[in-house]
Amino acid sequence: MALLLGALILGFIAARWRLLPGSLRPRVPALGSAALFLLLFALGLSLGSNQELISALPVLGLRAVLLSVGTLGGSVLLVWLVAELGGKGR
Amino acid sequence: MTWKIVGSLMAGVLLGRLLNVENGEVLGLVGDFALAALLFAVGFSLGADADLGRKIKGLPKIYLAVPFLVAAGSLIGAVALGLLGGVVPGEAALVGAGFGWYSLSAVLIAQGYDLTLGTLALLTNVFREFLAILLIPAVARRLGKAAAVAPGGATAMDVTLPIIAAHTDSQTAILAFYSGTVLSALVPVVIPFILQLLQS
Repeated sequence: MALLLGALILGFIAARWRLLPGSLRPRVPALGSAALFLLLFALGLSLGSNQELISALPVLGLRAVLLSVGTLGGSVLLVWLVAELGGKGR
Repeated sequence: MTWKIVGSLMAGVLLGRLLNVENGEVLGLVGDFALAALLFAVGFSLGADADLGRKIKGLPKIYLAVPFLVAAGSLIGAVALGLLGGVVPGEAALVGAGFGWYSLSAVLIAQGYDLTLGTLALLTNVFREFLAILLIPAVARRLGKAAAVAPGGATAMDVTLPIIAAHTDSQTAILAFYSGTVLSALVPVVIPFILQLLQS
């Protein structure tokens, strides 16, 4: 948590106060994308190596799909509804 | 961008199946490093937006409620679709209360309830993150920027944040970080609360 907030603030300050040389500035978004790919690759690696998880898939997979669709759908629906009803200033 | 994201993930899963990487520590370190770089890049794009302060002030007050709506919607949706799959409402709510934070919810539920439900929480919340990555662009396009904050749940502050930012605007990126932070704080509160209800 501290790491995340620290990195976010550091990035913010670096942009505000122009701490990066001009040649590096346009490359920051690419750094972000590369980091995202690396993060997901590492996540996949640890999930794929998790034998217990893989063997649980046939048994629990369908229920997990249902529940994940439910949580995602329910939260999108509720936020959308309230934003439509109350957030018309946007 | 989406296919690259899915590709990285699938490449990782396949390689993990082949290699069986045991060393979780190195992997965790790489993950932390990547996460920090990710947040740095998001912070940088926010910092480069000279109008950000005015935009935040312009956010409707109702958006303060977004993380709580995401939480309520997650629980309701989990219970509703859980019934279809024969999951008891209380257990479905418990799994849904991970809000996408798979590691913490899995541990809390495995320790406080049982191992199988902990594994279900892990799978469900991992799937939620995958689905969120795939669906955020379409949700942002069709249902609006605020709704695009919802799919990722707690991950709106880290993994799904750059995706939300790329498909909305800097104002919504701030909303996403706020929502993800509140939801992350809610996970270790709501799960023990539901556990108590289930065991009483």
